[in-house]
Amino acid sequence: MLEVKDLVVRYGPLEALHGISLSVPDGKLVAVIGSNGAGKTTMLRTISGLLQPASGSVTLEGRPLTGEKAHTIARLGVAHVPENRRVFPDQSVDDNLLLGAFPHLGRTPKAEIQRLLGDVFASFPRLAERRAQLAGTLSGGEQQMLAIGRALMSKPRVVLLDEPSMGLAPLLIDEVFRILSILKARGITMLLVEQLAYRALGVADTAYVIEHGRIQLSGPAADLAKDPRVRAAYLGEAAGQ
Amino acid sequence: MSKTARILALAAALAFLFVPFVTKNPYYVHSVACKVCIYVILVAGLDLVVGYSGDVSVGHAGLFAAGAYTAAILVTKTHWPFLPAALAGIAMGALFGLLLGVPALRLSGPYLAVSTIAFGLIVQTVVNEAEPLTEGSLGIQNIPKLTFGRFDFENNNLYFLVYPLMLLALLAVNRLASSYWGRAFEALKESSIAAECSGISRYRYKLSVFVLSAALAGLAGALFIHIDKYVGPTTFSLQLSILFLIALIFGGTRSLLGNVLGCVVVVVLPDVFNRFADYQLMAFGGLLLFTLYFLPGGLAGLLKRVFSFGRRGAVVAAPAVSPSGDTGIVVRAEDEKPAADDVLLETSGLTIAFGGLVAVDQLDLAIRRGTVHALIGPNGSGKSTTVNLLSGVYRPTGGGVAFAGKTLEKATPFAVSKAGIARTFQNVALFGDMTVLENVLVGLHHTFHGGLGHVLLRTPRAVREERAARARALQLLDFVGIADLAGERARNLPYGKQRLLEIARALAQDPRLILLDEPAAGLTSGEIAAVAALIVKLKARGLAVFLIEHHMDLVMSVSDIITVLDFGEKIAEGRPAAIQKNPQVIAAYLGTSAAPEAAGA
Amino acid sequence: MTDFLQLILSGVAVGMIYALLAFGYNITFSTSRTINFAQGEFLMLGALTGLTAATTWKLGYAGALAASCIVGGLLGIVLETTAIRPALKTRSAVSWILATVALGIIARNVAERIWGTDDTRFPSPLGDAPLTFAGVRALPQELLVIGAAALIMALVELFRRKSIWGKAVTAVAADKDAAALMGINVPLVITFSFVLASAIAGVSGVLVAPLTLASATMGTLLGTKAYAVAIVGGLQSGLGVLVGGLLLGLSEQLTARYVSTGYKDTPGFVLLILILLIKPSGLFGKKTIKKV
Repeated sequence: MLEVKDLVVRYGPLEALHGISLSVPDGKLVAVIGSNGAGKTTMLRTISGLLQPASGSVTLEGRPLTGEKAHTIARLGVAHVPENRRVFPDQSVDDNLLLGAFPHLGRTPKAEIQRLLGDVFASFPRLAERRAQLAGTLSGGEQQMLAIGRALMSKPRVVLLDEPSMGLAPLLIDEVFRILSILKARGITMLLVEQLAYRALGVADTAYVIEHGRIQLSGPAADLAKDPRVRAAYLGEAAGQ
Repeated sequence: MSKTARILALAAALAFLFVPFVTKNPYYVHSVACKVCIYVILVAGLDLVVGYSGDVSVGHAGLFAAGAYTAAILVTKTHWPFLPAALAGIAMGALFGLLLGVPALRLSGPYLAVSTIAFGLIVQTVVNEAEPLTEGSLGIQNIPKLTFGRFDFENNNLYFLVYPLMLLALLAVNRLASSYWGRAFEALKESSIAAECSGISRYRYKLSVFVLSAALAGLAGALFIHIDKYVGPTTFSLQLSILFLIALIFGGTRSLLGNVLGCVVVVVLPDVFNRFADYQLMAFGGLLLFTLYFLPGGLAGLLKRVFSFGRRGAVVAAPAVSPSGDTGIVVRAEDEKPAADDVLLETSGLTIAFGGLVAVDQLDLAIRRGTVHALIGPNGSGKSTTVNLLSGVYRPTGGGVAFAGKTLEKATPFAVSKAGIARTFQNVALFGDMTVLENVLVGLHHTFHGGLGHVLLRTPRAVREERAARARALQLLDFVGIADLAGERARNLPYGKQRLLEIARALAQDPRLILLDEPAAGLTSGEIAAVAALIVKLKARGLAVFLIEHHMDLVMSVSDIITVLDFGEKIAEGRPAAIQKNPQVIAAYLGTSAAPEAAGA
Repeated sequence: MTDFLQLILSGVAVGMIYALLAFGYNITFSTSRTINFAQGEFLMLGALTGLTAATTWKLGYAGALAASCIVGGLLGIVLETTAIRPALKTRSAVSWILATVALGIIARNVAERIWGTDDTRFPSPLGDAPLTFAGVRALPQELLVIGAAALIMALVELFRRKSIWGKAVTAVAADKDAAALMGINVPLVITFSFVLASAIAGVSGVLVAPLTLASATMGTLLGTKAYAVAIVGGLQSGLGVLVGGLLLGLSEQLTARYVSTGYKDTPGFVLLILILLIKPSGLFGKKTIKKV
């Protein structure tokens, strides 16, 4: 269970998040949707320690994460698939995946690493074909799979996904969401941040709508999918009617 | 500077003229005091580069050498009198400064620092090797007496030449720094893109700063040869360049007092502690490190803090805004007719690719006069890239931009600003160390027509232009509603006010079209309402507004027309109500309701 | 012809030293976007420590190499914690440039106090008798320098590509945030990169000293030329510094032979300024786009 309570984040004089609270129960996929500039990425970066909150707390199974450095939080089991994928472009697919296992590499037997690699390649056969290729030369969709595979290599307790659909063509977006539903079926706990609301609501268990740094709506994903206020959050009040 | 401070400074300046009457000791006057004065001339020039322009030069000893050798060769080999030889030294310094400034146009940080080191070492090598001119490692000796008619500036009398020249150099630097030139240097230092978008030619001012700095170094060199009546190559080592930097940083940058104190320290300290001469570099290195981390403003900064203690919080007098109610906005005659709706800016097939990624693809836009035209789209759809293309920050890989009869697709940001397009930045790009008023004055840069001479001599014209610009800047601040903050440092402003200040700075450029890149991002709802009202006011005055924004309620309420981008392509265009109902727009923003695969898995 | 080949050999030997130092800049620049303006002085301290280890403590040339490596590594830690880390926090290029310059002059002064200001001969472990191949005479130390420098660069490249720690360094160089998300301790990796670069500088000192002479002033010019090499080759390119180093070593020998020994030190700087004007990212550099 990942819990976020009253999170406030500032960039200098700008307050980007004005007190966000949400929880991600084990084995569930929780979506946070909202237009760009709403504060979704800021929230994920704060959870994983790349940003420090002004106030509020983040806990993972009761253990506080706030105040820890990003690399410590990664070792505690939070895997963050960042916006724009951020694979290591000059390193091979294999190296990227190995770096994904970095948090536990020292205490994991080789066979276990091989098993994890095998799992990733089973989920993403495209990556298996391109093991030796430099990550920077992969297509956008393949890079997204690599970024997700890299996160899975860390044996995470929770995976944070930041707009996995961004910049991808519609067919690849279908593929990404198909993968998310497979991972969900495998019982992986996920917090998905997404602009494409209806897509995210299609796979999520519960969802939160975030607008200008505040949570405006929340509830079971199926209910929100029918709520006209979701559309209003994106395109203005008039669009919701 | 307050009146008392000015009188004190003047009194101190006069008092020090009498140093040679207080002590006749030739060592103190001739070797120490004169050397300090000459170093101050150079360091004040170095301050222009480091303090005002933010570049590191580790090659000023090379410029110093250029002035010294030019003057020495002319007075010994061609028997020129002092004055023309010194002028030649200044000119040679300036020429070398130009050579050093050219890399500075393209480089910054370590790259520039390395190239200045290289420059200094090349000069030293050439001086060593060009024996017919420079006498190589022997150096030039027997420099003739320095006389003006019957008065000679030999021995202690040299002080009566170098001290007044030092005061003049300090005065010149001070006038330059407090004028629109100084603001241009600082603006380029803090954000060269924002400065260029505010109408400042980077090319012109970056080169100028090096040339002016080098001219002072050349002057210092031409004077320096008269201390020992000798000039040799070992003087102008890398160490000397570092020593000048230490004097500057330890004394405190951007402070005349700091320049003087720093030079006094580097000249006097080794004398006082000459028993420890062997540890001199260690001491100077330690001093530099200490200053960098514990004394950021140097000695002058420390003194300032000590003396202003208690006076803190003295309120900057709220500036009087002209009672005429003038807004300070200048609208061109052709934009005043309210009914105008002909096309002001038109792009055709505008395209930019970064590597393989096409960020903006064949975009056709027509922005009409006196309208608010919004550009919206999901994350990464190419909105900010479009603003960067229109403002000259990026150069398109294809297509054209026509603005009021000019083609702008190849224009620099500076030229775009001149043509009449001003912009704001998504991540506020103010000049944080400058005051609110100064930020707007940077935008008013184009109103200054008196050149360098006017600035240095502080002619009536220069004074008049400065006064007019300040008055207009206040009007503009009043127009956006932050005139009461004019004296505050821009970085200390609350975020919402920073956004308003950026708009005021943009308006100062007399634009016909203003590009607002997410003006409401991070603002509270009250502040957003104020921005909306401001946009409506701008439109009412005949300005065209190009608006990029995520706050849809704002976009829908102020826009005449909306263009929607997705993957760099225009997917829709029309009036707000139509855009809100457009299924393609809805799909781009919210996604379609679940693809079959996703549901089935 | 043999004369020319001999020039080439000396040029390659000294070029490898430039390349080795520049390789150090390349390592630290990639992780921290800073370079150490005291690197040449670190080379000098490595050489002088090595000299003491070899002659006073009688540890031999291998002992000298080990001592210079340790001293270099320690200096790297000192430099990173006192000069680089504080400046990275304030994001001020002026402060780290000046702070490393300051440490450089301090290092030089320390060396002058300990070892004096004279030039000292550093005996080559392979003796000073030249070897002759087909009429071309070569100092054994020159061959040692070429071999050792190539070996060090190859080992570092191997480390970067094959070991997980090396991969972590490359990851930090590419993307600090993403590296931190992988559980990599980014500040530690940056410190490590300075230790590595400084240790290489120290070892370079022991390699080059038998060819030149060991003295407190030997580092400044070498260090400065290596900046030129790093920038000419492209600060981010390992191949670039190798090519740049050889280019400089050769052009210096040719200038000394065919122009004048006095101008021997200038081609590097002329090359530097030309490259900066024509292609500021260096011969092998990639252009970057500045985001607004």
